[in-house]
Amino acid sequence: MADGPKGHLVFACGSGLYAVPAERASEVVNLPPLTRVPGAGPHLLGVFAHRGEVLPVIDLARLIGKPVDETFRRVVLVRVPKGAMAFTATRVVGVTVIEGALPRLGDQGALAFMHGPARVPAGECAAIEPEGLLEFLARGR
Amino acid sequence: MTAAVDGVVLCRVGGARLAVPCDEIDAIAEADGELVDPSVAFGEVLAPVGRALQAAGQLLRVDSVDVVASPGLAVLPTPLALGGLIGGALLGFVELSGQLWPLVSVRGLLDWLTTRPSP
Repeated sequence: MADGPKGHLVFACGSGLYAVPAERASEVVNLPPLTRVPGAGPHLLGVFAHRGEVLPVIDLARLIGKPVDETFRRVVLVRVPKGAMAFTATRVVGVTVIEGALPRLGDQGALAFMHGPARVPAGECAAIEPEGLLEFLARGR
Repeated sequence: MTAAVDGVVLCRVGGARLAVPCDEIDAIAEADGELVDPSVAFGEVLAPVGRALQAAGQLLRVDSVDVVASPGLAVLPTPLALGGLIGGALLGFVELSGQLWPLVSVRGLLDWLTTRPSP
């Protein structure tokens, strides 16, 4: 993860706090009705059409095996050069600066694309590396 | 350039929806005989009575079918995060009456269902 201070959008998904680079967070929208995708893992809640594009909705808590909170009503849209995805959010905390290099939270799975714990005013969060996480999901978890 | 499909068969498997290109289907049949059942792989429960799609010499069991004969239906690309789902049989999505339907190659789906390891 880059060492310099970087603005991040911080949001909650259940009891966990997550952050994505602010320049990658394109929108926060209300969760629309989802279309289930047959054969998808439990972390992939479904897809919805947004501005002519199909977006997958990823539940980060399910993805990394944390307790699930079904009260999410919004999704954070994240766009990287290779594509876009939406993360469920029970609460959007705001934008904050995360400084310094942070270690990976794990060596394998989705945690290899999360760094931290990062100290933010709301607590400790996992900073997501969206490019790597999207590639990981594309490999078919 | 936007991809397009000329007609789809809309199917339901429990709570899941599928659209299949019409040109892949040989017949829509009664759900009799040796059927390939997608319900376990999809985590769904089939209705007691249903239909079957015949393709590549096999019968895929579904709950219901509706034919949409419209030519040139736009196919929205599959998001990268869904790469490899259903053994690569997911071709994209079609949007009909405000609803998204996963567009699936029935031949690819049958291959995946009949060759994937048991859960």
